[in-house]
Amino acid sequence: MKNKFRKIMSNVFFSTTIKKSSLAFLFLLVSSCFTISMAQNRVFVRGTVVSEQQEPIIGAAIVLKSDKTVGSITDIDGKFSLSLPSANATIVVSYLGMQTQEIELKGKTNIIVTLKDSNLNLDELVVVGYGQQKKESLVGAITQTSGKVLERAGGVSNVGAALTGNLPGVVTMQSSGLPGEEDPKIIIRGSSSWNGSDPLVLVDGIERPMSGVDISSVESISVLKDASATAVFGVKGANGVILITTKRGKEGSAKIDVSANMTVKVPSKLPNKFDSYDALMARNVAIENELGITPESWSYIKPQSVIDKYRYPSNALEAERYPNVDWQDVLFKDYTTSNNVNLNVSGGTAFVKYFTSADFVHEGDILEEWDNGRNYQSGYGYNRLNIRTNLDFQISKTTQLKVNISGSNGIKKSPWNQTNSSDWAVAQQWAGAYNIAPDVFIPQYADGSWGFYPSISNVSNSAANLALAGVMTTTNTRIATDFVLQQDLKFITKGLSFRGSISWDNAFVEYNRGVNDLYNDAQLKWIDPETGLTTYKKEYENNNKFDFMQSVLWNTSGGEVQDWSTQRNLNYQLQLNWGREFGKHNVSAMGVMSRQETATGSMIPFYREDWVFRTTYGYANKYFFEYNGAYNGSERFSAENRFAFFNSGALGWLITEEEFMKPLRFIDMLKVRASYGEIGDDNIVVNNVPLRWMYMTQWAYGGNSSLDVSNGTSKYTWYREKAVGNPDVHWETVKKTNLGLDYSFLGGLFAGSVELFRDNRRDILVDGAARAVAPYYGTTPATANLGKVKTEGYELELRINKVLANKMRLWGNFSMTHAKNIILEKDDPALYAAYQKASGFSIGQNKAYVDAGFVNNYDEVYASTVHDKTDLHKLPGDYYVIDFNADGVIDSKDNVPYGYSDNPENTYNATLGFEWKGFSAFVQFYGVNNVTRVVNLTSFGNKLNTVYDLGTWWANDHSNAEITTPRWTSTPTYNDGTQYLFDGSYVRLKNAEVAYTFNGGWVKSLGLNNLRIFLNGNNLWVWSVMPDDRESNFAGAGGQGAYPTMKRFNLGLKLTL
Amino acid sequence: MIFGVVSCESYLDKEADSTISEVEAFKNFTNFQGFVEEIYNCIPDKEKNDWTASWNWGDDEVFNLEGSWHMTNQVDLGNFWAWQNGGGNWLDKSSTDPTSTDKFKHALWPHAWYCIRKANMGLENLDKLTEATQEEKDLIAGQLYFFRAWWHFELMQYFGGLPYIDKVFSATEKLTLPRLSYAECADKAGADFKKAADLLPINWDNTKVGANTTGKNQLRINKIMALGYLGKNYLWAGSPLMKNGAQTGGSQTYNYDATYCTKAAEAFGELLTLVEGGQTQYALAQYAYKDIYNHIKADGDTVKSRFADLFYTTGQGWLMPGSVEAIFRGPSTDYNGSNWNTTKTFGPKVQGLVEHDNIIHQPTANYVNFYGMANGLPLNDPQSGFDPNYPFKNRDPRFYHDIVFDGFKYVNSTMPAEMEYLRYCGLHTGGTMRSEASASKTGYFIQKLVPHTANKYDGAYNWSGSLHTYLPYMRLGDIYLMYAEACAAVGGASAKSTNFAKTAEDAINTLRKRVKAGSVNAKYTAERTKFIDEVRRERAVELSFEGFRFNDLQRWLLLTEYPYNVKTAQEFDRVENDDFYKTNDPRNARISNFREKVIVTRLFGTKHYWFPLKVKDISIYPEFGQNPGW
Repeated sequence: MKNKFRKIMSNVFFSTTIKKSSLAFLFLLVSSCFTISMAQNRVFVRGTVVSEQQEPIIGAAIVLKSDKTVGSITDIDGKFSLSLPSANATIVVSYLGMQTQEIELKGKTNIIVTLKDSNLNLDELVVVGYGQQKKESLVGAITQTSGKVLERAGGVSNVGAALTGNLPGVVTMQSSGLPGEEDPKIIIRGSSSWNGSDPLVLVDGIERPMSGVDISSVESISVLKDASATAVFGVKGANGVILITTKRGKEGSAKIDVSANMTVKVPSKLPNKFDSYDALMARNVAIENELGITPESWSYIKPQSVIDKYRYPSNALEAERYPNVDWQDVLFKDYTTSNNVNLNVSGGTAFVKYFTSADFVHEGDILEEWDNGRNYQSGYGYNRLNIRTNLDFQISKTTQLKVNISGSNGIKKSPWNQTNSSDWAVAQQWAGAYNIAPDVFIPQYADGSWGFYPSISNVSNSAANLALAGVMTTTNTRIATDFVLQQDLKFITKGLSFRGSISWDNAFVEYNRGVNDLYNDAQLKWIDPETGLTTYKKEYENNNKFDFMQSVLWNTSGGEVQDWSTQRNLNYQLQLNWGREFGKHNVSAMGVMSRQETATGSMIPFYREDWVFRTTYGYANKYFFEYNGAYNGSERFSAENRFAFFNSGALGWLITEEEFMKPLRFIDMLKVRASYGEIGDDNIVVNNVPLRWMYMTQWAYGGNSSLDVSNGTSKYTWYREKAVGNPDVHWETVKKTNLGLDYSFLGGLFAGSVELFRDNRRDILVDGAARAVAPYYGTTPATANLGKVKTEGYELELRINKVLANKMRLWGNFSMTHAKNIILEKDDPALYAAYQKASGFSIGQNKAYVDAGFVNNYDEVYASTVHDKTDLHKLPGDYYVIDFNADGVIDSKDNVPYGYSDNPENTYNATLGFEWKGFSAFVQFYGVNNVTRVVNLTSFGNKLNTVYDLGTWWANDHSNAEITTPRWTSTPTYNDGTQYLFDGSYVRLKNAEVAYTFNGGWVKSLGLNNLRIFLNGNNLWVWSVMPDDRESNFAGAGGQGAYPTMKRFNLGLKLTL
Repeated sequence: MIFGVVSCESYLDKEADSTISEVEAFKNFTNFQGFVEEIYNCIPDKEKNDWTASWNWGDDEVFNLEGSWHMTNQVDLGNFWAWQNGGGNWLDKSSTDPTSTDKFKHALWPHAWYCIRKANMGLENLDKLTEATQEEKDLIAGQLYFFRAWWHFELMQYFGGLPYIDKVFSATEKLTLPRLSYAECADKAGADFKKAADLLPINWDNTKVGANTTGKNQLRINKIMALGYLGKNYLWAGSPLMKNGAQTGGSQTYNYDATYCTKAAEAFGELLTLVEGGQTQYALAQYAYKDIYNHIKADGDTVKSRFADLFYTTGQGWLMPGSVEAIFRGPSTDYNGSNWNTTKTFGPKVQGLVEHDNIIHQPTANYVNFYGMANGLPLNDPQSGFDPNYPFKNRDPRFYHDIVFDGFKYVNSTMPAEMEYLRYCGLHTGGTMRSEASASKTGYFIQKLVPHTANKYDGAYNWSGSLHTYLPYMRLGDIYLMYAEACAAVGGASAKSTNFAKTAEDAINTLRKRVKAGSVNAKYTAERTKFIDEVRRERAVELSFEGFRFNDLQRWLLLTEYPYNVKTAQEFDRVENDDFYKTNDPRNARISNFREKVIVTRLFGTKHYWFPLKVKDISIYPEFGQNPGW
């Protein structure tokens, strides 16, 4: 049955391709004739291909090295036979996921080939910009990992999130667990510009979002970090480049992989809040504390007898009147699930190779489901289907055509029209977890009405907000197409080849499909605990004054395309490659011209044009040299400044190839590398909109004032100066220096690398709004090249690999990255003192009013430095705020750099594992430090009884407290001190896995080649002082909170047919 | 091969057709007027610029405890920094956008400089306006001169002398202009206002191009607005603070600059002559009520306008308030915006009687006491007839219009039985509406700007009530007051300008007559300083809660002085039983123990006469320095 299926699969691919192109068929015919015509004076070779576990490999490809049209495929027992022109031929044996082997037959006619798993040596070939290079001749700072490594991030469906820890130099930060929006922020080697630090992400050579790729389709991910590696990408490469290469078919019969993952998700850490009783007790303490300055606060004191009711209500009525709601418990389910199924088929013939895959992901919602009496269910969720087909046609002996077609269809479920999770309104769906007081109301009362708080309009009932929010889907459809033609031009000169590619990407967003339930109020009520009286939001219908009745008035909507999100990208590249070996000299050269046109919605398309080249020279596989250049053009600069030339070079010395090293046998490999070069950048994004044509003053037309007292608008449409141009604006450039050392000792027991790097970035664009220009200039000043930043750091990597006598393999990967930036110049106001300036500190350096402990009594209050604002509201127990500039007054000048920036300076990763027979297991720890995260958890905000458990409060008899006593009515200044600036360090058990691979008899009898069952988990444990588990605030400010990040427990299986 | 392909540089050029040329903006009236009108959109809405806004920072108002973050409370604490980047006041916002139709996106500080640049840009490009008649050219130039001066003037009120910007700066120019003195700025602003007054028509409806928008020109700048601000600018320049500098002690409070005040009086005089000569579209709104507590205007054909319509309209199709009296207003784009939540921030929040945010604008008792007697005398005059046992009797008619006092029937409609106890305001000491947190701590509410029917049961703020509020920047009543002040500053009650028939005293009495209150008593007209006191009291009452008091106390050098630095609550006990109020007019109620209690004392020094500039702005170069003391 299995064979049959495979046959069908390969026939399908074969026949469709032939139908598609009769020309291709002709080529096929010619090439097979060629094969036949050569089949004389032959030697017949038989063999078996097995894995390291001595299992036969089915479908491995065997070809003659000198003529790749001669080949065969192993059968179900791993056997093959091949007739060869000579007994001394060299054959190449390859199989997807295994390390390709070359075998010199030397007359043998029956051989056994043992293929090694390729994950151990995958980095033999490294994907670099516009090509591949051998690892040993690499001189740039490049790290690479494989799809397999990403797959072990338990239950994570997002490529970005799976990268964490697996690539030295890459820092990821997670901010939200919202289904479909778990993309982390990625920074490579720290940021060196305030104009965004996002790396350039290329999928199969074209700039595309990482989220459109599923993990199972990833062959490798390469991260380019230094100037020589990124230079060929010119602009945009300045923040590093991530190259994602998808899998491709290999010659052989169809190989079918099926994998399935079932994941259970539970919320990770959330802030601790007091329950009603504790909060009210705390409130009395807070009020008592401030009575001296605001005696009127006394009116808010709650008697103990009332407070007791919150914890011990005597009946159901009292339980509603004195609510005590654990919002986190109410809002979230105990767990939710996610799952992922993937099917891929690959294989090919000499003429066509194919890889095709379908991947489905479902991410479940942790928010509780509510009965809203309206027959629909709101909430969040994400379903994604990714389809990909990669085809390689060998049109002639010298011509190859690659066609990649991929599609991604991501369907996000959300409440109606609430899609941007950092919006305040959207955050109200989970605000309960962060800041709704436990005593303010019951989410839903016994009579079905929802709780509300009449005194303040901004107190959300997260449960009602979610339950009544309607529901809709937002569908992101993305179709990417690449056509690549590779032509060997050896008829012109040996080693010359041409590559041309054209890619079209289109993306569409459809939204508003679902249930629109806007403005259909439900009954809301509030029971005043003081009087027991009920206040209804809708006592009666406003217009006719009849009793209010909740009606079911929602309507369905069929969805519409967001015209403004429709994206169309065109990219074309022409590339010439030349490479030759002359004795010990290995020379290559490459040149590319590429143009890119991208547009979203109705915008005028972005244009970009780049010319780049690379030359490499190697001598005796010992000395390496590389020189790159890029000639980049940007529409953002005037014709005079538009094009600029950036170049870089690198040197490498493989010391172990030297004769004098040979005696040191414990050293397998030692290589030193150095690179230096310059890269341009023109990217400046303000409010998520990239600035364009910065050299031109731009005008806008549109909009009308409302000058009619009867609510009409004027007939005169505005003309306005939209942005002031700066004719002098020019390229931002970064000079990157990198020193690298690669090592391997004791037969691969220890291997790794050490990198030192420095980025000097100058002429950094400063957005007008951030410049020091007198306010009377009157509009946002022009963007200007006024910044300078230096980033320095190092990366350490150590890999341990030990195979014990009993064949148990123990392995470990340890890495650390340190990257620290310092602003040298940034249009700071000249009269600022040094500590007030941005220069001299890191990008995003946090600031605070630093304290020297508590003010412990009134003597100290009177003796403490005067505050320029509300000095009268100081009390014992406040922070003694340091008058940093010693001018005798605490004011905004005493807000001084404190802690670190939001981006960690150091990241650490440790992965340990073993493999033994079918067993494998590993744990991965990931940690960061030297980072500060601001989480403004203000107790008693808006006079609500929200109290966060952030430590003990100061009191007369408790002066070694952790924080000050929060205030109820009074408004002291600078009294937050540093308490909301949390040390953002953490260590987490990022991933852990146990797995067993079956490839014994019973698996075979099921018709499977092998079966792998694994139990793994992601984000399993975190050690941190932060009140919640978020690594960054980009998906909603610290105090506002975000959809909880998740712990994942995953059970999966993967089988190969 | 590929390197043979020549890169066409034009690939990266912006397509010419995709660019809007600035030449277009100035070529004809339609386009140029479109260029100008964005400036109108920038005029901040004092009253509705936030969910809950604060604009009365003098001795006139307090907020309840939950409003402690608001400017009103922060000014009490001396924290004048609170104007910066704050929510809830019209001077500054952290995020603004000149093109936004969102009323929350406009603020004075950023938009003033933007609009001044825009005015200068227009003025520098007047020569490009070729396809236009002289009338059209004058209209454009007049508006631009007006706005250049107006935005400067609004800033100067709070910050004192600044650079007066009369050119467009280039992208690369280094800006190092020094701050000018207040007088230097006022002279330049005066020159611009004068030009505007000379160029602009009284009513756009009567011009050829204005006829295209006839009936919709009320907000467009005209000669009357220009004259009004010309006078105001000079009166401010001639005021004690501007003349004598910031100081405490109050000894200079009557020391005005005669030259500036004379100039001011002339400008106002010209304006008032035009108005009283029937040559303008403006008149004093009528104050003729048959039910003053509910602001129901009197019957009869002669009653054409209603004083309350100056501040709010209801049941008039969301018509913008202003009536016939408002002179200068900005746009009020979001007409239902009043009900989010301005109209919900004046009444009691007890039991959710007025819904939403628990912020309540309350009049201070000391301020309410400026409302004198119907006979025109101040309360503290021995002959006034004020009786502390009947303190609400025979007061200035505006008291009954503006102020909610004890026993006032707050809810007209039916309401649940358990709420009935709130129908009549219990504003006496310990009354049902004296909660510090959710009602009045001063013993009064305001209903001048928002009617008391904006409550849950009368529902004026529901959609069906079409309640629309807006506070005018300048109205005719103010012109009479400023005329009177300018004249009185120079020559007392009998002084007048050369171009207007009325004396200072007549001007005050014009306003008194409108509300049927007694004229200024003779004992206050003889002495210049006494008359100035009465002018100031009239100004306090007539313009109460309209956002002028803080600037007035500033320029009169009274901000730091007692009794203007305290806020009081009115304490008293009821004598009548609760049923009295069901059948009697509450003004006739007898009370006892009428006494004031100080609730706020403001400890101000000279620095509080000017607001602090932003630290970043004053840190760029030394000549653009901070106001003293900050």
